[in-house]
Parts: sequence; C-alpha cells; structure tokens
Amino acid sequence: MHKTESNGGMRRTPNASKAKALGTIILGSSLLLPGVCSAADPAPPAMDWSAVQKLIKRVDELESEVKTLRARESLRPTLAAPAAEAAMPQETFPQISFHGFGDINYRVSNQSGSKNAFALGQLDFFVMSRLAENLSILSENVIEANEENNFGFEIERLLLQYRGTDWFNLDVGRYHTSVGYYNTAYHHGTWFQTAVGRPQFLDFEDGGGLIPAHNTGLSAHGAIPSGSLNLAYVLEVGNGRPYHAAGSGKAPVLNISDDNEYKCVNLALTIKPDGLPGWQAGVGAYHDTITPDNLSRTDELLIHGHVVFKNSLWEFLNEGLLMRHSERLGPTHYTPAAYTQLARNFGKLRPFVRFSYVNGPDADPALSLIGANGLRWGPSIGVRYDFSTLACLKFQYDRIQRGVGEGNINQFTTQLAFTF
Amino acid sequence: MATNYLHLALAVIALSVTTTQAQEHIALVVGKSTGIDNLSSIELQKLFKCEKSKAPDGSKVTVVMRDTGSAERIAVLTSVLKMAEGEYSKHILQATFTGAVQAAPKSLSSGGAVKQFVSSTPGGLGYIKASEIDDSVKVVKVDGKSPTDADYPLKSPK
Repeated sequence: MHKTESNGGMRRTPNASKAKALGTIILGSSLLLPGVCSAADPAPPAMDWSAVQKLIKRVDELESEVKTLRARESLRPTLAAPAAEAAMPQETFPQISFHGFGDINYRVSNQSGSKNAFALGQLDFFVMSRLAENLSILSENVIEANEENNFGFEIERLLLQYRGTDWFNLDVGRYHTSVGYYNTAYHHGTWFQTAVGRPQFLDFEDGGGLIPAHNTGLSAHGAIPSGSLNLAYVLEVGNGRPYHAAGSGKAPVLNISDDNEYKCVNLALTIKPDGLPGWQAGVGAYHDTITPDNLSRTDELLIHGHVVFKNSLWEFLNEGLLMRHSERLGPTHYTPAAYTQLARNFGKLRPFVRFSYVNGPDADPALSLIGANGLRWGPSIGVRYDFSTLACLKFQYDRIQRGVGEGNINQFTTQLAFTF
Repeated sequence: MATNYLHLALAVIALSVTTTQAQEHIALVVGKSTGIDNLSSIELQKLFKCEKSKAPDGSKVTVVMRDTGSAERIAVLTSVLKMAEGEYSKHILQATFTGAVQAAPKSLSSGGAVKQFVSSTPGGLGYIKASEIDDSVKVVKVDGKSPTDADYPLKSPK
C-alpha cells in the first residue's frame, strides 16, 4: 500500500505527483524559455540533437509512467471516508412531497353554442406523504371551474398505499382504474401529456368519457415472476360507476356509497420484455353489474388492451376497448373505441398526431344517461414546445366527425401547461 | 530558431502529458455485508428508474444518486439509463404521480457521503468514482465486469 497525501480533496501517490509536477515544470519552462532565449540570446547555440533525442525519449518515458500511475491510482483503494461525512441522518416520518400542476387554455371551435374563450384548466395539488417504510398516502386534489364559471373542489385520488414487495402492493381509497394505458399513465396534470387532453372516450366521467376512470375500493398490483418478460398484474375491486339521469345532481363517482350491492372487478395484465426496451403491452377485463336510473339491471363488461412504445425520442400509443352492456330484460349493446397516437421529439419540440374512434350505439340507454353514445372519430394534430423544463406550450387542431345529422366539429386549442 | 521549435515541441508534449484525461470508471458500490456481487445493465436500469426495488437475490435495494450535474450522475444517466437529466427527473416525477414510486431516490453531494450511505443502509446501492473506492464498501460488477476491465460499461463522460 502506498503512502497517500491529500491535495485539496484529491489523493495521489508521490510518484504521480512528481510526474505531474515535472510535466508542469516542462510546460512552464517551455512556455517561458522561448521569450527569454529570443530576448537574451539572439543567435541560438548549435543544436545538440543527441540531447534532444534523449529529452524526447525521457518525456515519452515519463508520459508512459504517468499513464501507468494514473491507471493504478484509479483502481487503488483510498482511505476510508472522513468521519465528518459519517453522520447519516435516520429516516423520519412523515416525509411529505408536494407537486402542483396547472394549465391555461384558449379554444376556438365551430361547435354549436361554443364561443372562443380563454379557459382556466385544472389546478392540481398532488401530495405524497410517506408514513413509514412501506406505507404512504397519495392525494390528488383538483380545483376546477364548471360551465357556470364557478370553482369547485374535488378529491380525484386519495389512497393509502402499502408497498410490500415487488409482487404485492395494495392501494385503498379512490384511484384511477387500470382500464387500458392512458388512464394509469396520465392523471389530472396535463403537463405530463403530449397532447392537450385525453382521447375523448377516455375522458373523465364528468367530461362525457366512456370508461369508469375513477373508482373507490381496493387495488392490488405487482410483478408476476416471469424473468425477462416482466409480467405484472392489477386486480381492482370497487363500487363501480353509477349511471344517473342527466340533471339528477348526483356525482359521477361513487365516493361514499354504492347504488347497488354489486362490486366491479378489473383484472389487467401487462408485459414489458427486456428484449424489447420501451415496449409495453397489456390486456384486461372490467366487469360490473350496473343499475342505471329507470332501467333494468345490466351487465357491464369492458375488454381493453394496449400496445405502447416510449423512449427518449418516440411515443407511440395504441389502445382499444370494447364495452358490452347486456340488459337483463333487454338487448345487448356493443361500443368499440380506440385511438393511436404518434409523437417524436426534436429537441424542445414534439409534434404529434392522434386518431381516435368511438361508436356508442344510440340504442344503449345506459350510455344515453351519461351522454357517451354516438359516433365520434377523427384526427388531432399538434405540437408541444417545452420552453422550460417545467412548462410547455401546446397547439392542437382537432377534427371530430360525428354521426349523421350531428355535424362535424373543428376546433383549435392552445394550452399552457406547467408543474410547480 | 531551432531552440524555439524544440521548446514548442516540448511544450506540446508536456501539455499532452498534463492534460490527457482518461475516462474515469464509475464504480457501483454497496455495503460490505450486502450479498449483491453483480448486476446486469437492465437490472441497474430498473433499480435506478425505481421500477424494481429488489435485487435478483430478492434482497431489498435502496438506490442513492449523486447530485444533479455531477460527473458520476451524468455517467449513470448516459451509460445505464440512456436518459438526459430532464428526462430522468420527469420519469421519477411521473412515477411518483402515478403512485408507482413513494419517493424519489435520495441525492448526495459527494462520493464520501455515498459510501457512508451504502455502508450504513441495508441494501444501499450507489456509485462513486473508481478512485474513491475504499475498504468501507463493496464493489458490484456490472454485466460481469469490474472497473478494472477495459470494456466496463460505467464510465464518466469525455
């Protein structure tokens, strides 16, 4: 073991120091000497080439020696960490972290009754508090204005999370259902999303979305031992989604009570193979027995699947679902829906294109109650500009083709989205 | 004139000696009692991206990062995670937002603090410059390679 010496936090061997010092001396003298020689010695002495050769050889040797020493030094253990760094504070709980998200929009649309307007989006307060090593609280709370311009407050997610192992974790409370990909990857902070908003059929319950985006109950999830396939599961049990008549004044999420004795169950499986980095695929099924206002009991089944690719440059999202409403005393209705979205980063710019489709049959009385029936399809095209690491500007054009007699919609939206 | 050329040549040589900066290897370190000896690049990715919290032997792992902007952190982000700092920060924030991660990995300001953390935290996993290795920590191979190997994947940026 070499004796070591400290030099401004760096540790090096005496040999290494000497070699470096010699190099510095040679450098310094060679930079200084030309001036000295030219001033004091206008007629340079005759060259002693053998001496020059020896000098060059010696420099080569020294250079080689320095490299060797550096290589050795990089692998040689140094003294233990100073005692001053030794005091590592013990973890104390709760550990609270807070994040905020918001967006401001300007929208122009030819939809009947729509006026171009600036619009405040959601002001989203996200709090994560670790209560213990394996226990935490997740809370997402949103303040948002309604169509009457009055602000309202809503608890979007409130979960007690138990993180047991990679294979079993449990969330209790109000969560975003694992129906497809978008609803689990993106929540209420639009800053995370490439586009201005969610595909229409994946919109939240109060926005006319098709899926039960929120649920109150239990969610167990974790990895399935599968080696490099990286299989994972989610199993959710909750109150399900209510189907109330428009104007009933009832909330679109069953927060503190259920409107029937049945519970919804959702099982989703995903795969993220090591051999296909960036790819993820998933399938799942959601079942509930719903009791819509003034309608017979209905079995609700959603089969959902997705294939997603994301890396530093590309985002390629593909998702589809089929909803079946089977009335106990009536017919069965099927609603297919899907979207595909492609985006690519060019520095701070990320152009994107999305095509979405949903076709909720008009004859489905349950969908009529929540305003989610009808044909809606068309492209969206836009660009996202991340002018700051924590804020971005998005421009998006949507063309929404609707069913016969409903007319098509063209709309342009600008969104300023940020996190704080 | 010839003397000037000689001095210029010597200056160039000396400069090359003093400024040659080989890429320094970054060593992955754990506490001495930890059973982890080797991790694959993919396992490292998952651990540092907080997608997994267990080592292949089933033991719990708590990763620690160096402060933003440090050469060691940049080396891990570029060599292992293939991500820029902004992407990594966004990834961790989104993972926290979705509930997949309870807290972002702790960041420490020096190699000494990392050594102290991993040696005092069961399952602690961090990274330091190879020149900072000492007896208080155990070096973990990456893809079966140790920092002495020429094709060791964890190197500081040029």
